[in-house]
Amino acid sequence: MKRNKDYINYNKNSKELNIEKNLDQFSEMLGYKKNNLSDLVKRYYNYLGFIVRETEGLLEIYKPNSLYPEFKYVFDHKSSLRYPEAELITYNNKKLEYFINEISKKGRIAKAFIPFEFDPIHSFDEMFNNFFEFFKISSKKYVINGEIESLGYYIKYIPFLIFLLKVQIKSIESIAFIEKPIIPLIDPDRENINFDVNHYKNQLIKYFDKLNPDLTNKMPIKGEILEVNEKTFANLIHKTISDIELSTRKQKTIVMGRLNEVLRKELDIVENYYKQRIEDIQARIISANERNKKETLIELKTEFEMIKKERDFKINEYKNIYQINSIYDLIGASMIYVPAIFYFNCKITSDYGILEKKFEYDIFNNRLIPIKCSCGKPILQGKVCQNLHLSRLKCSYQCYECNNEICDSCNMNFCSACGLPMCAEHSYECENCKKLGRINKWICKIHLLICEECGKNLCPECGAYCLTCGKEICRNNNNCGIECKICNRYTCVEHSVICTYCENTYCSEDTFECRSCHEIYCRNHISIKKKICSTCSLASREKFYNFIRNNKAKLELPEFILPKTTEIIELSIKRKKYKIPLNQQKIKMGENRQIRVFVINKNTDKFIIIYNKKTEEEIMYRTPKFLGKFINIFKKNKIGLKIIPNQPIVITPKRKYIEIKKPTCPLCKKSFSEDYKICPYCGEQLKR
Amino acid sequence: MPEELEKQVLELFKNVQNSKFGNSEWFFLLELAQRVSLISGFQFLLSTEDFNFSLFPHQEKAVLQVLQNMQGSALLADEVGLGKTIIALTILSELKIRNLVNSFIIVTPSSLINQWHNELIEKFNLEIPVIATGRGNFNQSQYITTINLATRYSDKILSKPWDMVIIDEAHRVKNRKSKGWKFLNQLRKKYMLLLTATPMENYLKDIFSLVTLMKPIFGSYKQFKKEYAVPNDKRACNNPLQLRRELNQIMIRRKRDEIKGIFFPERVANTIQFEMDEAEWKFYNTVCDYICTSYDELEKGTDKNNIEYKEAKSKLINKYSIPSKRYFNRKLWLHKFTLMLLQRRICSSTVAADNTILKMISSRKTNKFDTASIQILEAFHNLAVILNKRESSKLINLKKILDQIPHKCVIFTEFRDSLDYISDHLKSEDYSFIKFSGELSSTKRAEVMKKFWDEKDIMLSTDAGSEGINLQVANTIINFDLPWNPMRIEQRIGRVYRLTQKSKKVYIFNLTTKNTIEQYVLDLLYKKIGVFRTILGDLNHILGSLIKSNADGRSTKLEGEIMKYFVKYGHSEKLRNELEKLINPVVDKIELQGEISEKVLDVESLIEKY
Repeated sequence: MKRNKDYINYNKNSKELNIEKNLDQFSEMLGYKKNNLSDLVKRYYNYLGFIVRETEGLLEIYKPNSLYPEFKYVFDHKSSLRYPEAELITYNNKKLEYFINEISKKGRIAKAFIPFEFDPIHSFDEMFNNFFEFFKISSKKYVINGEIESLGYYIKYIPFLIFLLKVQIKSIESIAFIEKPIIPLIDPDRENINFDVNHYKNQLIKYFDKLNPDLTNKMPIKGEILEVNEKTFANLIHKTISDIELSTRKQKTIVMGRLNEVLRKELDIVENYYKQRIEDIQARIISANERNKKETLIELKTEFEMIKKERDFKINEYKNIYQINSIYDLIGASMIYVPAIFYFNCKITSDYGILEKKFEYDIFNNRLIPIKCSCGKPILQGKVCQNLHLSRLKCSYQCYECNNEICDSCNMNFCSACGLPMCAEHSYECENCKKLGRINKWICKIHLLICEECGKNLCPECGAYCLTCGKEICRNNNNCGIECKICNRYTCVEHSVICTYCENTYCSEDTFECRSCHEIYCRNHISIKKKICSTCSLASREKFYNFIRNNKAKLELPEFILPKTTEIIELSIKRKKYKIPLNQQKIKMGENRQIRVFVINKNTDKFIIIYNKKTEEEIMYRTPKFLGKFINIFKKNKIGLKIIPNQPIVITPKRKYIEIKKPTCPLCKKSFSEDYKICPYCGEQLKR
Repeated sequence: MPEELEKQVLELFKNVQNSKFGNSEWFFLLELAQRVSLISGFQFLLSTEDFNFSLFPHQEKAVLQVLQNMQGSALLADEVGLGKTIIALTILSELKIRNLVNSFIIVTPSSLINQWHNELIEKFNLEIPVIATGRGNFNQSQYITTINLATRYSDKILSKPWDMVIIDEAHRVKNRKSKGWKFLNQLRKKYMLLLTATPMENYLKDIFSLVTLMKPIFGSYKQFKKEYAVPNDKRACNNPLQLRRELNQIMIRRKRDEIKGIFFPERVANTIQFEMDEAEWKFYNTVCDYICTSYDELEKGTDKNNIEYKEAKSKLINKYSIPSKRYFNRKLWLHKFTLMLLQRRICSSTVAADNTILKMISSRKTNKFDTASIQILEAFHNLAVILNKRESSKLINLKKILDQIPHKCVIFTEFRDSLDYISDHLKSEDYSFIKFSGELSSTKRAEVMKKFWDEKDIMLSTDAGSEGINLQVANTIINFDLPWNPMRIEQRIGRVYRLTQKSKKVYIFNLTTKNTIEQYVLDLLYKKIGVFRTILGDLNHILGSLIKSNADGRSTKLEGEIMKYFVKYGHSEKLRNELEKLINPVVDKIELQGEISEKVLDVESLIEKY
């Protein structure tokens, strides 16, 4: 039983070859090779002028006008049994060697043109229609706002050198492949040609990928043949060969990696064998020495030397076997002339004038190449602009003001406020944005603001209307417009109010008169309900300060005052409903009316309530005004208060400021905010 | 290299520049030609299309295994009949096709040198020169030679590296102290194939020697012994499974019954024994008596231990009028050979014997020696003439067999005269047969072969037809006479007993006459050795000292030994015993092979069966 177990393990470890799978995998490849072999012979005799007939694996070669075949060939063993009189051609065959030798003699050097089917005599319109059949099929029509007219064609043939190089990496096994580099023999700088050589090189690589590419010995259309630039070639060949060497080296490294592993194992075996033999003989020498057997000693020593020599010989032999050689065999070279510079000059007549354009002809795909727009994409439908640029429909626009065609290539701009396209003439620059280096500094006439104080051109971002009088003012210049510290709205210098307590400037809406001292205070420093300023209500506040400092207050707050964190309330903003927890309250912030949700720490909340209780004021932390007040009391910032703003739920559209016309007295010419029936200043009856 | 290549490209570029437009189709055809000839890796076999046969799956598997996993060097130790030669030559062809082998040497036993040469031509379309003598050109890059010649002219062979070395019947160089082994060890080679069906012939160390020659995977012999040998038993293996596991790295060994999809036909041997009629018996006895007395006389003259050696020698010089003592031994051997031939011919047919007798008479008359025996020989001739006029009992029995066989068959005879005799009689009775002999040219041979495959039912052939031709269309062999050398009978059977034989059984009919030397030879040599049971492989080597190898595979020593005992003991039981003693070592050797295979080499397959 033990033996059986051993056997099972052994079987698991043994590396059995899956030959059947291998054979299946490669039978296709073999078939492909055989087809190539027969194709080779067929073409060989065809080129020699023979007539070739193929029937079920048999290739019969006839001389012209002959009834009997001159040669008969088969390419596999089965066919050779079927047609014993035919000659079998295989990979190890002398006949194949003969064919290769003959073909090598004839095809070592070649020179040809790439053919293309094209008749320049045809009118351009017809050709244009023919070549753009594709766009018609795809329901896109080649449309340009003008008429196209051909002015003739221009053609230049550029030489490309192709050479065949057989590379063989040989060791105990061999890898062989054919390199077919294509080198353009032209210097684009010298010829002053604006075309992509690499593009044509890639096209040619594709073209010559097939084993029988079409070529012609005659120039397809009369044109200029560019001279070969030997200097460029010498430089390029150096690079090409180093590239080939690099790729060969890569292949070599792969083979070496595999073989080195085998070699290391083999050398280990050999070295181990000789090591043991040397150790054996050394032991024998020692014992012979001890026994004083001189003759044996001499024999052993010679044997010892022999083994050493044999070891070196064997190690060298293995190293030689696994040595890798790369063999390069230059098979042939061919010069192919490609009409790489081939275009039609066209005239496009539009409302704005006449435009000349080049339509390139793609000989590999037998069609015209659409002109490229300034964005790099082909123009399938295009427009000619007022500056005579041809561009795609997506890249062309109409000026909002003058309705002329403009394109990306022209000096056109988009309004930073409304996004409308405008030509250079009808676009205005925001001076403030320009100063700050903003990209989007252009503004249309509609959204243009001109500061009435300094006279600068401004965009809506940099300019504002006075809250009180509606004057156009700068935002960033304190001499022109002033920002209210509470509501962040702007007023002109004339209509701004300074708080007596904090001496900051505010808008008239956020300032109130203290009923006690009759001074004007900002919302922060006045109790709006009682209309008492902070100084006047100092007594009650002092108690609160004491409470905080001593921390003696032990208030048992009723439960309903503390917000329940789990409870969720629905908040509706602009018809949309948001679900938020109760302790996160909405607060309107800034002029832009960003609605933010603040997470208010429970402790802070507690203090607010305490403060509220003590000051007997209503809870106002829902408003920014209250928060500002709160900060001032504790001399802390929002972060210090652990009031962490969440992301804005929604950004509402910008507020449109409407000029509020305050009622003024026609007699004393004083204005007032409320709608009085009698003027509070002079007593004039205003309304009946 | 890149600089050189750069120069070449520049030169070619200038040529292209100065050339006229044209040739592009040839240029791209050249590319196709080069691509077609590109071969990389050993994923599939490409040379097989060139062969005049198809490889069996097990052969293809072995070839791929050697090429892909063993780096082209292996010990091919398949059992006899699985096609080791084919595997080795396919590997060689594959490596040649990939341009990895340019120089190679095939070392074979001298008896197989022609077989290899023919096999290479017929199956692989390769004509490789043979060096069978010391005068051959050892500077060639490819040749077939014998191990003896190779060791003798080792300096010439060792002077250069070889891409491939193939050693057939490698067990012959199993001794690490032998010149042959040392010579092979010194060879600088890239790929090496050792072919043997018995990698362990006698002792465990045999396999160590062969493997070490390839790659010393076992380390030193001391270590090998420590790991695998059993103390006091040179043949036993301590851990045969581990040994096989190690051997699998470099050895391919399959047993015939392991191979799936391969069918070896069964050998069915039938010996037809018949009695001669009185006239035939009389003729046989008198001729045999004459042969015995003459042979004994000649033996006495050569046996130096004999007391009357000198007298006998001078008597013989006078009798055979030998001019010089220098030629004594050679002349004597010639006379002995003639007598031996006569003995073998008389076993075949009276016609064959009669022709030899006539030749003996004429030589005696022209050279004027041994005139006393002319009269006796003439009497023999007269008797033979009478006998030749009628059908011999052997021929009658042959016809009986032919009438009963439903399949195509091949009748083998050693002698041309017997062949003609049979053909004359078969012709008169309108048998559908065809004749094949060594005289035919190669084109005629092919014609005859085709006729036999297509039309005829019987092929009459001399031993020329027992080598290098395929007759698997027939499944029956009739040995009209029996060669005394088992090698030759194996070759005869080999024509029919092939892997491609469609019939399940191969029938072998041996025609022997009762109480003749042929019967003894048949009983002892063939039955004991088992030629009719199975393929034995390197018989030449198995027969060992009994065989004096010649290039053509013929041996005279065995025949000589048989003759000696026949002369000594005549038709008696003692002759049988002596021949048995002679053949016993051979029988032991064959039995030993089976035992070794069972206990050491193929223990794996036995476990699988179990």
